[in-house]
Amino acid sequence: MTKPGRAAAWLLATALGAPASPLHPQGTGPVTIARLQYGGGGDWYANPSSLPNLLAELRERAGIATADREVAVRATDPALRDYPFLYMTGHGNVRFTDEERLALRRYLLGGGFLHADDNYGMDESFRREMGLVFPDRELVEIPPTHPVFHAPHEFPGGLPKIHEHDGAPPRAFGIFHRGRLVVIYTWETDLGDGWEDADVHDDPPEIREQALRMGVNIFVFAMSQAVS
Amino acid sequence: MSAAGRIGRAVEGVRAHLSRSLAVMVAAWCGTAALGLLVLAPALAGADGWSAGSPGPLVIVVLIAAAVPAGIWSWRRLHRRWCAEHRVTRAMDRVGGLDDGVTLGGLELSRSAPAGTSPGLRDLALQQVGSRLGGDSRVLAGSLGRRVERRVRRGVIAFLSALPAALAVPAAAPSRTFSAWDGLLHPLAVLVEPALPPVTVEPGTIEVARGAVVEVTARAPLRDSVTLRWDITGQVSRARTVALADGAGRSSLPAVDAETRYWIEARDGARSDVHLLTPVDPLFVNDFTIEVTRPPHTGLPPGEYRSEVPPLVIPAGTHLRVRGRGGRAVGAGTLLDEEGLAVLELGVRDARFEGSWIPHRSGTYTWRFRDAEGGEAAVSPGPLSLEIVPDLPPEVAIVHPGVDTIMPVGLRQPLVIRAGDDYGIGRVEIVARRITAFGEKGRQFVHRVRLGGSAGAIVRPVLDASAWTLSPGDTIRYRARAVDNNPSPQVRESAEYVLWVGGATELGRAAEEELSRAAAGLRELAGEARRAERETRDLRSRGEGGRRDGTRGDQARFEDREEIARASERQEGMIAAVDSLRGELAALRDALRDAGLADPRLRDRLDELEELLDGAAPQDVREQLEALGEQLAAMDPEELREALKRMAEEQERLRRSLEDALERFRSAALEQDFRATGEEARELAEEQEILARAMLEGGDQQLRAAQQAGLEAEAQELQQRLEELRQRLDQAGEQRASAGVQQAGHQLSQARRQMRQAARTARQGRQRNAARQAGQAAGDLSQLAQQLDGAQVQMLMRRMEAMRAALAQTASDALALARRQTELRGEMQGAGARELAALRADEAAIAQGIRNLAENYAEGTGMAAPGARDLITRVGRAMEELDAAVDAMENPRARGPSPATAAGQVVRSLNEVARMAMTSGEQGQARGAASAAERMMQQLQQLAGRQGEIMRDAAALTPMRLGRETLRERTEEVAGRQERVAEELDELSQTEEREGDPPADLSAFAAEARRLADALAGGRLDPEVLGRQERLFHRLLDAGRTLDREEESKERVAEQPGTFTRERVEALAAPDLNVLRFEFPGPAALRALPPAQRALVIRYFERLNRSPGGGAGSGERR
Repeated sequence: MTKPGRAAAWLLATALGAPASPLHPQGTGPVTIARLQYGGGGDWYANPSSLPNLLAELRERAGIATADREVAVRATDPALRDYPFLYMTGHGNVRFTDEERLALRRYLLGGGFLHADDNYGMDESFRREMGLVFPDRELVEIPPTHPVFHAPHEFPGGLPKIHEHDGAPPRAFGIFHRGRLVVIYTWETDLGDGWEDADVHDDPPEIREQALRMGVNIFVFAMSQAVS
Repeated sequence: MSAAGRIGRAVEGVRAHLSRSLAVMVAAWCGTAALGLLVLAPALAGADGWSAGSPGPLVIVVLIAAAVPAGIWSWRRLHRRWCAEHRVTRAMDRVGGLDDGVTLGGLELSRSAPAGTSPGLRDLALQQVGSRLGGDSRVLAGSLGRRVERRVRRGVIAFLSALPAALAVPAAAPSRTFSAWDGLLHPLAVLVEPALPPVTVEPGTIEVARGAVVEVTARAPLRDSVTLRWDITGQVSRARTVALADGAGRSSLPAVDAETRYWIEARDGARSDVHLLTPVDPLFVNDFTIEVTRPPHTGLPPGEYRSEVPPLVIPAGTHLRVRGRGGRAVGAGTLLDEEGLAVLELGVRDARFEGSWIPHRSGTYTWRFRDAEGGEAAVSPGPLSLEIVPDLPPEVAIVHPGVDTIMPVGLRQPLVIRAGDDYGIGRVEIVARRITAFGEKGRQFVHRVRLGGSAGAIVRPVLDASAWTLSPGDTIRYRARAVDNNPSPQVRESAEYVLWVGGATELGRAAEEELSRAAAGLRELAGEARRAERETRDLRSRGEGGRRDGTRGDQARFEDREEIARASERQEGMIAAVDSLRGELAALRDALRDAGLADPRLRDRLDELEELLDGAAPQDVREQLEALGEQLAAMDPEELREALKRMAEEQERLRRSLEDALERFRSAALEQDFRATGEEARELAEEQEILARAMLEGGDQQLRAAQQAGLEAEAQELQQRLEELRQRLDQAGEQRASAGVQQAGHQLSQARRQMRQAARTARQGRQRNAARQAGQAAGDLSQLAQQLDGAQVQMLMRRMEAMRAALAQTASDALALARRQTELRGEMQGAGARELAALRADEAAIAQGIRNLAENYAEGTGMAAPGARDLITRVGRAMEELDAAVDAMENPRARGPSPATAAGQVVRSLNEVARMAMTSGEQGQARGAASAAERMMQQLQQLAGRQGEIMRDAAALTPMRLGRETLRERTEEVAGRQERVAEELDELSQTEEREGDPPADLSAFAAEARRLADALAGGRLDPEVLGRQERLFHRLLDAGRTLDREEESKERVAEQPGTFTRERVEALAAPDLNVLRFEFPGPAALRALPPAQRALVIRYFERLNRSPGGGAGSGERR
């Protein structure tokens, strides 16, 4: 592991073990990622092999004790608060119920984190739903200077491009709460495709590597943020 | 020593001896008394030790202590008595044999002599006495000493007797003994203990179920009885005496319906604390509800159960939400598994409780509810029986082809995949990969079929490898993968199967099978067309009959429309089937071309067949059928009849086309069977020849024998094919060709005998004989191939002859009909109505003649003659013109051409038919000149085909493990063929450069072909050379094909992202980060404030942060 990797792992371990954290993922067991199950018809279950691969990377590279698989949760699931890192993706429409919007808002403001990865086609509906979850905030573009692009892996240009969608540059947007990044939305990159098994999309190894590194960055950054 | 001193010392010695003995005696008796008291103490103390306040220990201790002074006193008294001088000296007198008083006198005399006593006599007397008192004091004590000693013995015996008893008591009852002796150590403590311990009563202050009878236990040690008193609120106090046993006793209070205070009192005045019994109602669990939410991927609906929950069978991952209410405050609610371990602790608030649980294990779970005091609920929900059904992995199997097989010639393999899952399949993926003949792995293709969660499915995808640039010898490995719709998907893969891409021989045979299959399909279609035509004819006649009778009502007309609609749909279906067949033929033609199978005869045949099918189902017919379907409802009876007529004509036309095509397909399949069998025979002959040379060269004869046996097995298969071909020829009436094939079969039998002998001889190690026999077999096989070619040529010649005869007959018939029509036209000129009516019978005869001409033509040529379609079209036009002429003869005054003019049109058409038939016969194989570009394409395709054969032959040499010489010869032969390809490419390149812009870099192809030829000539036969040959083959194919076909795979292919320009992104400002300018006070500070002040403080900070520049949460959306 590289020095920044070790540092990140230590930082993460500290953050996870900090008694001040409002979230205690799965008690003392390995941490995992929760996949957000939403309505509206979009394939929330897309890229099935992506999160197991990312969790394996976190385990093997960053030394974080992670579970083998993700879990699927709805926003209204009481178990949502057991998972500090929420991930959503899909190609189609996203729609939350009023209860889900409220629960998601509470979760995020209460210390949770959401990574939304556009798998090509959920941009419009996701932005609409975020507007309803956070009517008082908006998605702002995260500049390449942001720490999420610099530790443990260095991305000097910002978000890497994994798959071609509409020929636009990849962009990362975020919603901040009291300085803490609570939502990161990756668009025009398709990190999830890059996390999938190598033979699914036949991505070149270097592209998959970029995707996994960026995934590690997002996870490590999300978990090491201070909760106000 | 003087005598006086000796007497005094003897007396004192005796006295000291007696004194010691007396001391021992007294001590023994005191000890005996003390031991007696110690033995007595446990008995006095009782089993529980000394009772508090008992004086026993003190008395015993005092007695023991008193034994010491008493002993001293006794000893002194005894000393005085037994050690007095007169008793001692008297005893000494008796021992010394002296008279009584002599010793005493001597003693006194020694102390003081009376006055006047002679000192001499005194001394003498003392000497005499002293001499008699010598010896041990014990002896001198005499009887006195013995009496004392007897008493000492008795004392010691008493002591020694008491001592074992004192030791036996603690051994027998140690606890009691030591407890008693412990009291002796603290006699005063025992003495000063209170007289009686306090009294208590249980169960103390508690809540009890209303109406319950409470058992109380009174404890009052050292008492025989106590008084239990209770005071029920609003009633007078009551009491009851409770007898005690061992300080404890039980009694019960009356049913508790109100608060009850109770206590006990003892006679000694002791009184317990006052306790309170509070009656409470029992805990009941009400409104008990379990909501069952099954995992969304199962598609199962949620359920809700109230009060009684039946045994639940639920899928793994099911979420249970439990809620309910108690009759009063609930202290805890727990769900216990079969081992009594808590699996769910319910959240409790006052009387309500709720909890969520995802069970992971089947079993029977029990509820335990307690009230705030820990009391069990009077009524709890029944046990919860759960059976967890795990989400099993999906199942998937490729049921067709289900075995390793040869890739269809169209390089499109239909698959049938069966997949199933207990909760639904998300998708099925077909994973395929090309493995080249040289073992190189291509990239993996994944084709997904989304199933949307159905429980089971039969998927029929087509593994389309037509764009994979496959080469003969390649294999495709494929498998199916099923992914269920679980959020954490489970994946199961089928067995992996292999598709082999055949070589030229296999492709030829595959083409024959495709044609045979197409012929079978066409036969079914033709049969269906006949049935459809018959039904339409029946419909027409029914309609006509009804029209004449005037009996057709609305209902009948509605039924007619329905019948016509059904007939129209059937017709459309048949046309679609013809279309599909035509598409398959086109795919077959393309696949053969891609594989380098450049057989011009087969290619021409396929083109003809495709054209024939195209004519059978033209686009305008399809459009007419569609229009008919749309307009059917609005048609009046006349229009319906007209539509029915058109459809009948169209069906007849389709039937004729299909029947014509069927004959052609059969013929084509038969020809291809001939070609493929001949090709197989030639290939077998060539392999046999190579083997014969290898045998002659020597080497491993066992290997050669095995190779020979393998070739013999191939020959056996060939013989079976020959027999099948012979039967087909018999059925087709090709008797001469059938005889030729039969002859070839005999030749093959002879070759097989030689091959078997060669194998046997090779096994015996006689290589020369084996080589000779193998060579003879090769010669037989070669003759066999020639015989097959001959038979095929005979068949083709016969067919061509028959065709020429049919064409000549058609021309002759057409001319005869034209002559007769010319004669009739002459008679028509100036004829009246009556004459014209008489001529109508002649015109009908001509019409029948034209129909016969068409049928004879189709039968004689099989519609395979050049320009057959044009000719038949012309015949059709002649029939139409003849109809027009007949119409003009029926109604000569109508507008339009006169009968003679119309008859002249018929003559011209018949003459044209005759001309076309003669031209067709002359044209033969010349079917129009191809353009220069087409010629070049054809040449390139032929070269590609030859390159493919070279490539295959070269690749086939290596695994045969030939001897060095044979391998060298064969490699040189292949190198020679490669060199010829290079030369022809050179020539073609130069020709095209002269004529214009060649479509490909032919000179580069030629150079590469020459380099390959050089490499082969140098003996290089390695994977690198073979790979280069394959690449050249594909480049020639690409150059020789018209690129009008979609070649891109429809698979999603991950691409590296293209270039893009990032826009500049501004650094995040405080408003973006939603940072508060004024942080709220911490939770601790806020908690310290009263609620009203807390709200004020929060509102104050919110106002501060909302003020301009206060923070980002301004509520404005950008």
